[in-house]
Amino acid sequence: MSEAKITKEFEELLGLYIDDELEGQRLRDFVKLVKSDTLYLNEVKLQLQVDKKLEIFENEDYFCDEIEDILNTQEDEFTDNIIGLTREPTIKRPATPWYFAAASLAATIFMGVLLYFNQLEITEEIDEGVAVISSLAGTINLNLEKGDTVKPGLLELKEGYLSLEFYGGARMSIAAPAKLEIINSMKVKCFSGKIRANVPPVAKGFTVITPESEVVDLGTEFGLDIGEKGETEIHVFDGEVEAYDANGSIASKKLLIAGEAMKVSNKEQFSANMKHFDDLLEVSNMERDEVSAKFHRWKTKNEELKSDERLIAYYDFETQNKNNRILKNKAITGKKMNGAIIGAKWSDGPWPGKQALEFKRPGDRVRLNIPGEYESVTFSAWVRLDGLDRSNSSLLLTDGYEEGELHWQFKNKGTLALGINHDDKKKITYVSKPVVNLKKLGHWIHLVTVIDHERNEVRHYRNAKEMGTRKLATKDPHVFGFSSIGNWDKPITEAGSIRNLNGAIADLSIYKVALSENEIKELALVKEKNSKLAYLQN
Amino acid sequence: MNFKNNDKRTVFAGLVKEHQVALRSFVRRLGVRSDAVDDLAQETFLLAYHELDRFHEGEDFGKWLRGIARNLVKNEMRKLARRCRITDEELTQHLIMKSDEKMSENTYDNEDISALQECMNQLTDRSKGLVSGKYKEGSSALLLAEKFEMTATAVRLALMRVRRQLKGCIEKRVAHVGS
Repeated sequence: MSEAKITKEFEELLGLYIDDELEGQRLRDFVKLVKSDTLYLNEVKLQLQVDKKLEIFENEDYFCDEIEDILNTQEDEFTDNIIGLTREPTIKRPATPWYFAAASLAATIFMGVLLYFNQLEITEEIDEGVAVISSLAGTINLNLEKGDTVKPGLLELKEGYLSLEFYGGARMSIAAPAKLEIINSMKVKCFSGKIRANVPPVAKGFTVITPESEVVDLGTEFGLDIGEKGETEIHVFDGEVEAYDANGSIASKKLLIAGEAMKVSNKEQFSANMKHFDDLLEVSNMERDEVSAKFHRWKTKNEELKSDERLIAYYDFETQNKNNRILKNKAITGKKMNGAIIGAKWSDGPWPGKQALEFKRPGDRVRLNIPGEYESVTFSAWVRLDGLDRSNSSLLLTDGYEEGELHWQFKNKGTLALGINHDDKKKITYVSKPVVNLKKLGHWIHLVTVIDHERNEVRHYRNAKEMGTRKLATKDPHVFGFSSIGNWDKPITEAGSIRNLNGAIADLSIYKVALSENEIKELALVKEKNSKLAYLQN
Repeated sequence: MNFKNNDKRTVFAGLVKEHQVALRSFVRRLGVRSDAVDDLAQETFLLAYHELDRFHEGEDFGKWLRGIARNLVKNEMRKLARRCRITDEELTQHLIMKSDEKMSENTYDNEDISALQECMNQLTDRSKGLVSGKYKEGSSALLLAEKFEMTATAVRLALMRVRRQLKGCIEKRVAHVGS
């Protein structure tokens, strides 16, 4: 029978513990007490249990909906990667599992789960890639973008041009229409298309297999033109290549040197036609042109926005002087909503010439004060997310979280979340489907969240694609007041986690209306795909 | 679990609905920070979904979920402190150990929430105000202290008494329904 009593001292410590405010020596004292007697232990369990139930009971709850949304998007492998639930076949067994004591049938099931977790614990993220997309001026399958890792598998370039840098060292440019199978970092099958390969000495032996031939590079540069039926021409520009028949038989070996070309079907030899492959040298130039065009479109839009009366505030993250610590509000609402830059550093934006602010450290932020009350609101931003280090990563958060205030941020599962402290004392977080994942970190994306009082909805968008719509609980006015971009300034009376953004922002606007989908497309610089190279990053 | 005649997603949605309150309060009882409880509970359900084929019908699904959650929290302790979602490792270890011993206890009923509704009606207006202030409005003890003209410590103690009262009331009501 326990002789311990629930003392006022214990209750004080427990109260602080429940509020997540107990730390240091007092936390150590509390732990000691809890471990000393089951009376204390049971009280802790009781209080924590009812604490959570009251929180669930008192709030509008989207827990089940969020799980449903995540499961809906798991086809993209998003969630598995973000929360570390990858089930790679090459996962190693733990050296010293701690769970072998389990014995019952339930424990058998349970052990599988434990093994699973132990595997997760010791397994690092595996890079299955064999190449990186160095340039892209076209449309490719698998939704791949510039900078993405390419795994072994089929690649189809439907239009435009693509450049790959293989882990083995070879570089290859490809013109559409092209179908390829990436086998490993030194071998590619090409079923159709025009390619130009540059093979430095370190990658000697890089091999391209076509329906008619196997071409082994012995150093430097060659081109291949493969027709729809697999008919192949080999052009050697520098160094030499060995060409074999489709079976790779030694007897069929043919050595071609710089300046020579061959039609494989009849072994007809002729002079290499370098001009025929010149367009492939231009891939990076074309990509640069396309990116410049996008920046030009942003600049045009930027000028329009400066006179858009629907804007509450507009920060284009452009400055003449990088020592400048003021982030100017470029909307007609003017300088009263200028921001003060704290810690964040000027850096490069999504397109050459475009500036951005980079947020890295817990102190980095832009302080704002946005007066007024608003009905519908639209947030829009160009954002580069470099990590999901925190439970919440801020885009724009009001200080504290009082009635009517808004919290626009990422959750650590890569979802976009808008928290609204509604009138009628309801705090609701409207969460999107995942908009980023570990393999997509470091890319610039355009994000929009709309609070639409007319349609009674909160909608999220990534690159103008709808990423989740929620019913708006109530239609009360929204306020900002003192707020921070890229961080959270909570009142000193409040405990809470750090929410600094790990990434960069290149453009952020807040509207006092709900923007239409067409307007969102314009802000995201999404171009209709009617031109040969209309795509890039979208 | 066999899904020949049932869509896995539909079955699972029903299981989430049925067990979510119990699981979330269980995760909180392991000493997980209040702002991280739902994330860990969500991860538990997502893992359970992937492993659902290994769960045998007729077994205790809640118990299976709690096993997964317990191991997620154990994993949490092995992580670096940067994104740690528990307040104190030693305490959580103790809470996990003690929860192992109580595995068979049926203290995670979902009926609690409906009972909670009735029990809330028995609170005084002042207690209701404190509960609403903390859980609905998200006010800190200091803000509530100012509003109710109390000290922050008195607010925390009052809320503790309310939780105790509610727990007693819920147990009585659930036992009554059960009998």
